[in-house]
Amino acid sequence: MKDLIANFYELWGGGYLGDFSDQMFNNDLYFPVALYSIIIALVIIIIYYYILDRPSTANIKVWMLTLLVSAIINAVVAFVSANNDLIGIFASIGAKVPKSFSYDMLMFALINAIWTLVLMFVLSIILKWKSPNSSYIPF
Amino acid sequence: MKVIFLKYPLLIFIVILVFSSCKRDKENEDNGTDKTDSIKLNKGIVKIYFENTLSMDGYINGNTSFKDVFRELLVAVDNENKIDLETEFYLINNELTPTNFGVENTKISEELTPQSTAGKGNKNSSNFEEILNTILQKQDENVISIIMADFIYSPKGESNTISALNKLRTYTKDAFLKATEQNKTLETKIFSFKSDFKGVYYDINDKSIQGINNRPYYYFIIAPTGLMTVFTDEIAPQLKKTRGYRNEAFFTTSDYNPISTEILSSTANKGRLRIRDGNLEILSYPKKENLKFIGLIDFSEIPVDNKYLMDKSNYSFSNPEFSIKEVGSKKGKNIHFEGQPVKKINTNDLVSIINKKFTHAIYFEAEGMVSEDLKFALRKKIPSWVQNSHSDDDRQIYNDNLEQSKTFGLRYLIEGVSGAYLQIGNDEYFNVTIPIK
Repeated sequence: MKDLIANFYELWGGGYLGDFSDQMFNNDLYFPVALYSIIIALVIIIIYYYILDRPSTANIKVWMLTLLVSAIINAVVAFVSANNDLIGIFASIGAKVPKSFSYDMLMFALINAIWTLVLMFVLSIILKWKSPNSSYIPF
Repeated sequence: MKVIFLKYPLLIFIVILVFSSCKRDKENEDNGTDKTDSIKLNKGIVKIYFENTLSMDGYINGNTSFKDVFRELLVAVDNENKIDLETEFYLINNELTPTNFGVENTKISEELTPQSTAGKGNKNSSNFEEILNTILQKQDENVISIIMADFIYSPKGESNTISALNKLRTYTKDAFLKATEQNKTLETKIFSFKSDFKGVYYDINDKSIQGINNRPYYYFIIAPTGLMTVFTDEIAPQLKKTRGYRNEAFFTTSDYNPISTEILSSTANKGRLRIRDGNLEILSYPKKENLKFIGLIDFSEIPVDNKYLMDKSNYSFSNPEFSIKEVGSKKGKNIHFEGQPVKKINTNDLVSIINKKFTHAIYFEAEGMVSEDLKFALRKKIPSWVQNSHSDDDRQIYNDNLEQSKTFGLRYLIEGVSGAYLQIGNDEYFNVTIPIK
């Protein structure tokens, strides 16, 4: 499981970010980010298809805006979660988080945003059918 | 009774469970006691044997470094607090003479003189095979035997020196084989010292030579594992602080697996590495040199001299692509390789090793592409100082300063000891496998 999640975030080696990725993996920091991201994506997609669901929201633009907002939220979650955890970990040895990690954390947040878009799309396909107004969104 | 069993099966089950858990707790307590605690049940005895021969008179003639070290030993044994140790002192040659010269134990060294040891057995006799055999036969489970001798082999009446030395090796091996077969936990440490010498040296032809001012001598310490641990931790440090101390060797049938290791992915490595759950992944190789990386290792439980641990020739690899570039020590956040600037451990690696204990660092090098896992071991070898301290021919000792620091036949004697331990136990202190993906 640990390896599977790491593979998603490190894009099977293509997105491996050196020391940052090692710290994320060794300290099990990928898992909470993945868990929060899945929950947030699921909640937002349910809100879109079953709570917010109106004829006026049942169009591709609102759906895409929903996906974009979810991706931004999850990017922020990834950045803040990784940053806070790494600050705590490095503080335990009396050191600061290396400066190079700021760029790595942005990359990590971006990767999490991309996976959020993919996940939201898949969830949309699965959950749209029972929606009273949005069952034909995205197609 | 039957009614109770039928009526209250749950109650009976709980009672059985409580009793069995109590028993298990007791077993755990027993297992939890450390080695020295179990020794406390028996009184420890330190039997100190002094080789009472003419060649040893030079070490005890007046105030010598030999006596300083011996005094330190007696005081260290007397003040050892972990277990209750009793000291017994013997003069040994063709006879075994128990004595304390009528003084308290810590004062024996002052009374040890050529005059006080005269007339106790035959001082012309120094048959080490016999001496070791006698001592090993008296080696009980609660005894630390310490043999103080120059261990110069005397091939009296032997026309073929090499054959005589081979005999020394074989009989020594035989004596230790018999002893270690009886008690597999029996371990041997050999300490090498140097002392000022005021006496007569007897060479290979038994010719007496005067005017040699410094000579090596040795302590053979033989004890079961638990007592050897006490000796190593509590007494040996006092001996190693003395001016005369030079080297040590250790022989055991035990191994020390598993041993804690950690590869550093960001400290002084050449090539890109990724460490995942103990697996080493090589992401890319350096273009102009060999792959290099540092592994940290915890040697704190291995009772082997630091010089031996730091000697890279004592390690072996099952994969010939690998070799050791350096062995160094880890102190705090730094790694010290001899003759090199201190290497600071990268903060990322420090995070990875937090709450883990490591004492040493090994700088590995791999030639070309790595095709197999990194498997390395610390071999049980005779330390290199033994060969450097060994002499095959001591007839020119008076004119040769280097020869004066050597001992005739020493290598054969120690090969005999080592051979016995290797025959009974394995030939590695530990081995480590680091999977490579």
